[in-house]
Order: sequence, then structure tokens, then C-alpha cells
Amino acid sequence: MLILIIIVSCFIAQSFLPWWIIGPICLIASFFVSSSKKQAFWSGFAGVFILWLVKILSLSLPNEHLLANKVGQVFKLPAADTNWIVMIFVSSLIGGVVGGLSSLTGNLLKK
Amino acid sequence: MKFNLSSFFYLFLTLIILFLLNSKIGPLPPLAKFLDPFNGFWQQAEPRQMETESTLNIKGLTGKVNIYFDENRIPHIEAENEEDLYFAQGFIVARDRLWQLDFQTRFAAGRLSEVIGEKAIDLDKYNRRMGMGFGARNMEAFVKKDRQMHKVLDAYTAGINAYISTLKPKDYPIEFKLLDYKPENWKPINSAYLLKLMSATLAAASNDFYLSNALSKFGPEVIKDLFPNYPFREDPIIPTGTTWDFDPVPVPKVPEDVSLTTTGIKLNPKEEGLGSNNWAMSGSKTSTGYPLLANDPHLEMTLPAIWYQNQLTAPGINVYGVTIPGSPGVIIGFNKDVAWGVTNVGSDVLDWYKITFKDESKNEYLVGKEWKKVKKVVEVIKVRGQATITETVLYTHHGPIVYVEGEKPTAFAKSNNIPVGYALKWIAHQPSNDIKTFYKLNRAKNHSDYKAALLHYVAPAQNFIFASKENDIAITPNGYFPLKWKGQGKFLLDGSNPAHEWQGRVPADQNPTVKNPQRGFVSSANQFSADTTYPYYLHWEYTGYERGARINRQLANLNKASVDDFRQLQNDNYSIHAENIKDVLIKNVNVSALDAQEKKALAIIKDWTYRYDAKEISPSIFEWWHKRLASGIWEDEFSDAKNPMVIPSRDRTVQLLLTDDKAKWYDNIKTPGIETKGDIVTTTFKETIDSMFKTHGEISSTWEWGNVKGTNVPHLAKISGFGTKTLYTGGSKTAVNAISQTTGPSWKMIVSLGDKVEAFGLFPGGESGNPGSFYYDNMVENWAGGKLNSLYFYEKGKPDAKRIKQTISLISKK
Repeated sequence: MLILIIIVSCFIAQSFLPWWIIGPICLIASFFVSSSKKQAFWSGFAGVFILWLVKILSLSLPNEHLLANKVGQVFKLPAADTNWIVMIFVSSLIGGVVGGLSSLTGNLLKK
Repeated sequence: MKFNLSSFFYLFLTLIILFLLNSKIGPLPPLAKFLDPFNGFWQQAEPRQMETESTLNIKGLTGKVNIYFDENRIPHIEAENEEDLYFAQGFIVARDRLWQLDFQTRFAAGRLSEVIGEKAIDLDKYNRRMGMGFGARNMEAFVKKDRQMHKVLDAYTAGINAYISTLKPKDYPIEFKLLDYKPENWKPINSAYLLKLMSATLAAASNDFYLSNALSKFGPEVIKDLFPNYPFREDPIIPTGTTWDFDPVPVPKVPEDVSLTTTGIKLNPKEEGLGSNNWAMSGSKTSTGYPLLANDPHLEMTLPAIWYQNQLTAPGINVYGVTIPGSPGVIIGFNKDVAWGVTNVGSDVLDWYKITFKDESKNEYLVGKEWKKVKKVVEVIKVRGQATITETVLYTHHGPIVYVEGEKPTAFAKSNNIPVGYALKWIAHQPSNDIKTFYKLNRAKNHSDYKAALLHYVAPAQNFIFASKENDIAITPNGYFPLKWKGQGKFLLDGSNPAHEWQGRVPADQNPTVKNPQRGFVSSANQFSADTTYPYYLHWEYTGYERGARINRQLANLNKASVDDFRQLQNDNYSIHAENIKDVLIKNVNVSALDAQEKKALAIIKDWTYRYDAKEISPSIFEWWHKRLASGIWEDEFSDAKNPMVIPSRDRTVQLLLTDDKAKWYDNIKTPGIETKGDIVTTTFKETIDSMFKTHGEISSTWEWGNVKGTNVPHLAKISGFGTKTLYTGGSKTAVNAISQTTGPSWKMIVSLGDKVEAFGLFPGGESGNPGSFYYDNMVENWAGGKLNSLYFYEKGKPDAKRIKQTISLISKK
């Protein structure tokens, strides 16, 4: 349930607000809906991770990962056609960690 | 709500992480902001497939504009009137090259520190002190006096800004996201800055200071011998024997004391300047009976590409060609009647004047017997993450005093050749309306339109080549040439002596020109504009004649020439420099002093036929050998930390090697013995092979020129991953195909005029400036392979549906 709320509300909010809106959203959603610390963290983590992963794939697949492979080199990866795997994983992971942490905080603030 | 230590801790941690991931730390972008798929860099991942049709409502248009994109995503812009045309050009250039527009303008205006911080401070100070802003403001004010050009510039500006106003942060080009800043609105002066940047690139080289130092060390006789006013070998642009059909204005007399010197700067050996080729052939020598024209300007190559291709159509104009993003119209191109192109003219348009201040306050300086007031201009440089810097620059009537005592940075290469305490007189400061030349060329129908267009042009001086359907061909080294005594500005000048000033200009209609010469072709490759019969002094030193001579030799031999002949000539790797000296070098090698590896290398280069082909090993050897040899001959005498000097030219070195076996210059004055020509040729050969061996191992494919040269096209801000991979190509600065490591033909064009004009061309890049686009570098492969793309020029009615992949209609928003 929490994971669905997080995916849907983050998706809507991110369409017109900066990325950090995922923090308050996960915190508030978890504050009202979470059942345990563990459930809160993993719902936040997986919710944002999945949302970002799917959004990235929708952009990077039609681009044949052309840009992701180049940006990998900006982050000091060697020139390779597989940089996109790292870029997609790291991006989604960062989103996931922020989501998980915020959601955990929401649970901890709960009575 | 539950408030305890652990919930507080996690709340605090979450906030810290959000903050850190939203901040730019060191060279990295704000991480989560950048990696966020909704607003970060992923938004710049363009699909391979283009949308086929779309309509945009834009404020500021008067009618409807259709923009057709062909298979290379080159826009063909069709407007109902001229203002909409330039508006749409600005709009579409901004869409494809917004970050480039921003970055290059900031570079020229000395505003890079605002976005990249303290590492750009020296560069910003340098560009401000050189008076880039002074020149751009002069240009803007002058253009605005011309109502027509003012309108063009305003429409173009409005178009760029209309595009910027459609953007949300997620749409910003990736470089803005990496460096974490926002695009700002365009101003007409930015276009002036970009044109000034061309002068800074092409017409800012100066050896005056180094040569003055050499003069004081060696005296006038040696300098006259080693730095002559006309080279040993030359093949001037205006063919020898052309008569000058004008009455020259009087040329100033050479004053008595003309040279000054000063000391205290480090030596910075100057690389050969950026060059270019162009040529046009009369219909009498082509297969179609109509003229053919070719042009390839050589510049420092970058991605996003320097040039932007487009076709511009409106009532009264239908032109195709390339422009510099930020400059309205087409700079090199063609229409159905004419074609034109440019190469750089290395005329002397930059001089240094010693300033005599009245006292320490530096408020007044001497001119003749008068004291004139110094104008103090305060430059304010904002620096990201640091306090704002202010710099006061002193201006005289000559121009800015770039550095007074104590202002010159010690470790900034660009300022090495600038003498302290001297004012800079530079053509880039002159008020000018250069865009009018292009405005008129875009609409030209014949040779007299071409002549009229050229009169407006000031800088950087260019060899404007021309061909028309009426079967005229012509070339004109053109720009503002100061009227000088012979040799004026070869050395540093005295700012207090009015006789040392520029005495007006060579009348624009007396610039060297030739129309339909006997030989049936015209050409240029940055060599001397004319031989010594031309009544005015333009400069003592130009780029070497080798490329020009090769072009002329090949063109003279061509009959019934075709586009493919021209293409092959653009790709010609033959070096006349190698032809000139290879044999004399080999003859002077003392074979008994060589080891096995060196003998093997000598055998390889013996059979070389002077072509810098990618698969050849000899060019790798020859290139380093002749450079080492030139340094070996001259640097023992000319290298002096206290008095930096320039070494004699390649031409003078060739003359020495071919005509003088006993010159004292062969001896290395830093050794006790007396070295001969044979000694220095042998030693430098051995050094070359040893160093090649150390870098590339045994003689094998790693020695091939294509591998040794390592051609690539880097990103404009050198962001790794955004440049091309290493390209295996031939070419040399002394060959027509002037591809070196990162400089080379930045645009190649061949136009075949006639009832239906046909044209071919490409540049090492793509139309898009977005590294996430398939059109960012899509022309590089054909470029590196020496191929050309067929250019789609449509004349009337609807464009051919087979060539058009996408259409965008711009409609006026009410």
C-alpha cells in the first residue's frame, strides 16, 4: 500500500517540482501509512527506486543509452558501451536511498 | 508525533542528505539533481526517432514559418518576411546550440568565472584587458546606426529569447546541469562578442615583442636576413603579373627611429596559425562549363561544432550555408546564382605602443608635445563562490594598456607575448558592420554585388573567394588594412610619436583583388596576399606557401574538373615542405653514426613520396625530425629567458638548408666544438628515432601517422566523454588536408554552379549541440573518411518529401 502511494504521489509531484520533493512525500506518506521501521524503509526505497528506474528506462532505451554511456565518462568511468548499466543503477539507487531514509524518518516520527 | 533522539537523528540526516545531493561540490554536479530522471540529465537523452510534424505557438512572429529538417537534421527555414526569417533562425539555433551560445559569449566577455569559479579568473581578466568588451560595444553601437542591420539583429535576438522563454529547468542543455547554472536572455551585443571572438582567434597573433627583442640582440643586418619582408618561396594569392588598376594613395614615410625593446617575459614558442583553403575554377576548366568553388576553413575543432548549417528562405533571399551560432545569416555558402567562401588573411592588424606617463599617478601620457588624459575603465568580474573582483584598465587613444608594471600574470601562457606598459591598437576595437557583408552576399546575384558587399567588411580580414553562374570567378583579400609604412608594426612602436600611428586605411576598393585571371582559377591558403608589386605594406609574415602552391599546381593540371576532383584535392596529403627538404636532410645524415633501428627508419623515409597518409610511418618521423632540426638550428641563439624571441620561419629555415652549407647557425653555441650541417641533421635524426622508440616501441603500426597524430574532436569545455574517440586520419599543416591533432577543416564545402546548383559539404560534428542526440557528431565519420554529404538546397515550392524527415511550424501566438 505505502509503496503504491509513494510511487503515484512522487510521480505526480516530480512532474512539476524539483527532485527533493520525494523527501517530504515519503516522510509524510510513511508518517500516516507505515506499519514498521523495516516496512517504511523498504517501501520508500523500492518505491522511488522503481519509479526512477522505470522513468530512466523510458528515456534511455529510445536513446539507445547513447547519453548514459557518455555521462559515465564524466564520472570517470572508462569509455565503454556498458556505462549505462552503472548510470541507471546509481541514479535509481540514490533516489531509493533518499526515499527509504525519508520514509524511515516518517515512521520514527509516528506515535 | 514522537520526538526522541532517534527520530531527530534521522530527520536531521535526511535533511543533510537532501541538501548535499542538491549542492554542487567540487567539479561534480549536484548529484541527485543531476541524476533525477524527471529534471536531470536523463531528459537530454533524445530518442533516435524524430517526431515528424509539430506546431509551436510563438510570441513575436508576424506570419507563419515552416522549418523543414532533412536527413542530417539541417533546418531549411521558410518565412513570409525577413524579420520572421531571422527570428526563426535565432529560435532554431538556440534550440540546437543554447549552451554553446552562452559559453562562447561568456568566454569573449570575460564572464566565465561567474559560472566556473576561480580557475577562469586569469582568462577573464585577459579578455577584459584586451578590450573585447570595448570592441563589442563599438561594434554594437555602429551596427545600430544601420536600420536594416539593427532590425536583423533585433529579430535574431528576439528569436533566441523566444526559445529560452519556452524552457523549463528540465529542458536546459546538459552542460548547464553539469555546471549548475541557468541560461540568461540574449542581448544583441552578444552577437558582436562572437564576431570579436573570431578576431581573437584569427587576428590576434603578434610577434612584435619577440622580434623587437631579437633586433636588440642581433642588430638590423641579421634581422633583415633572417626575418625578411617577403619569403624565399611564395605563390601569392593574387597571381604574380596581375596589374593594379587604381591610383594608390600616398604611403607614409618610414620614420627614423622605429624600434623599441623591453625585457622580462618568458619564452612561449608560437604554434603555426590556423589556416584554411579555398579555390574556384572557371567554367572553361570544369566538366559542366560552369564554375566550381571549394572552401575548407581550418580552426580548432570542437563539439558542439563551430559551424551550424541552415537554409534561409524568404522573399528576396534563398541561401544555404554555415553560420557561427550567434551570428545571423550565412557566413560561407551559396545561393542559386553565386557561391562564396573565406580563408584567413594574416595581415598585421595588431600593434603595440610604448606609453610614456607623465608621473606615477598614470593620469596623463605623452603624444607629440602634448599630455593626453588616460581613461580608467573599471571591469567588474563576478566569481562563483568568491568575492567579486574589480580590475582597472587604462585606456589611451590607441586602445587599452593591457598590462602596466605589476599587472601581468606570471603563469598565464596567453599573455606571454604582451609587452608591459604598452597600449594595444587592434582592429577588433574598430567600429564595424561586418554582418552587412554577409547580409549582402546572401542575396548576391553577380560579381558587382560581391564587390559591393565586401566594402562593409572590417575584421578579421578574410580572403573572400567568389564564383557566379555568369561564369565569373574572383578573390579578394579583404578587410580593414591600416595604411602603414613598409615594416610598420613589425617591431614595437612608440606611442608618444604621432608618426608611429596608423595613418588611416588602405582604401577598401584598393584591397588586392583579381577577377577571371588567365590561369582559369583563383585560390588562397593564407599565404601572402600579393607579391611586392602591390603598393601597400600589409605584413611581413604570412602562413607558409606550401598548401597554396600544392593547390595551384593541382588546379593548373586539372581540365574538365569535377566535384570529385575537388573533393580529392581537399583530401590531398601531399606536403611541399617535405618535397623541399626531405632529400637534403637524408643526404646530410652521417649513416655511419646510426644504429640498426635508426638505419631501418632512414630506409623507410628514403622511399617516402611526401604524403602524410594515415598508414605511412615516414610522416611521423619527418614531422618530429624537421621540428627538432629547426629548434636545433635556432634555439641555442634565440632562446633567452630574459629576452624571449621568435625563431626564423619555416621558409627561412628551408632557404638555409637548401642554399647554405656553412652558416654559423648550424653550430650549437652551447657546446665547445663547432657543429656542422651534417652533425645537426644527424643528431636530430637520432634524437627523433630514440624518442619515437621510447614512446611507440619497435617500428610497427604504432608508428603510423594516423596513430601518432591522434586526431580527435574535443568538447568545447573539454568535458570528458563528450568529445569524439581518436580518429585515424592523414593530413598535415603543410598539406592541403590540414588535419592535425585537434585543428583541421571545420567545414568542407564544394559548390557546382549552373542551371541547377549542386553542393556538397559537412563538418566534424553535427547540427545538435546535445551530446545525448544522434545528431551531435553524426557527420564525423564521413568527415574522417574524406567523404562529403550531398547538401539539400530547394529552390521553389514544397521541399522534396524524400529528403525531409521532420517539419516544425512556428505560428504567431496572439
